[in-house]
Amino acid sequence: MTADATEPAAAPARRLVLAELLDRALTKGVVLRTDAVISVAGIDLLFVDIKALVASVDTAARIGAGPAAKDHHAVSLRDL
Amino acid sequence: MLYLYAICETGVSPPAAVRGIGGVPLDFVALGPVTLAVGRAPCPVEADLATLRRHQAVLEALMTGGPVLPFRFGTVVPDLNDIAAAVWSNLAAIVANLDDVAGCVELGLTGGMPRRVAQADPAAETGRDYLLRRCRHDAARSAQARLLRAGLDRLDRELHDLSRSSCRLPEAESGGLLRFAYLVPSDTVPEFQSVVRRATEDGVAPLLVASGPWPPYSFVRPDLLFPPPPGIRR
Repeated sequence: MTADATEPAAAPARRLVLAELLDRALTKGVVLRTDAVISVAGIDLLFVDIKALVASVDTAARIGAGPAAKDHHAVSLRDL
Repeated sequence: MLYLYAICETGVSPPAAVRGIGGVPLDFVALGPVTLAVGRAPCPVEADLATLRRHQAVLEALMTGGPVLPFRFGTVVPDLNDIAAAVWSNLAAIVANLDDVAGCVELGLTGGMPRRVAQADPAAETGRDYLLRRCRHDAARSAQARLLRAGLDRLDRELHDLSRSSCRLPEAESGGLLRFAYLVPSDTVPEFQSVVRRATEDGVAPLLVASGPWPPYSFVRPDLLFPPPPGIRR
């Protein structure tokens, strides 16, 4: 007997968009590399495990609970 | 502490009444042809979704006035002098990068297959049967992945042709999702979305999500403020 554990296809859209934003906001953009402080909540972002933050997207999505995106072909942060 | 939002062009009207993190009004600091959008920030900055939304809302408001180069989320400096010197010494590259992104927004595309894991049922089959079934399952999945990658590559080329620039982002850790970023002229966004919608209807990938518009995070030149020393290639 086969049992497949399949992630529902529609559910990831919101989480993916939030993960996309997190990835961009935390790993891209203009970077400072001098003695400037780069921190969130007192933690130097250069040493934060980005994957750990993305993995907590479920929690973040719950905190920002909004209407589910109706059209997952094009989802923006406003939909979250 | 000063929270850094973006580098903009000087002379562009800043959006009225936009508030930054902590509800603080923005300050605009002109440094020749470029202007820094900054705000007084509580320290430490809270790493929560509300702060991220505020950061994003400020950038979106700034984008309505002209090209912006967004700072990485959470970037704060103790003093304006820390950043001003870096801007002055890299002014030509910053102006060129603003020209790169002028009139465009970043759109993202993520495509792939939802995770499927074949699980054993010890009561229903022997270990040998399970391994044989698992081999068949993996072979079928590999073939499906090759087809999917070819379809996404075709879609990527089509979307690249609508864009000023594009890049492939590192694959997502889980599920091997392919990720792309496109720098798309604002007036081409509807056409871009329509291509993605058609690809979804054609079943190019079981999971296909377009995201954005974003500030052009992925098209900020690497090491913009601190170029590598001579002899080191970017």
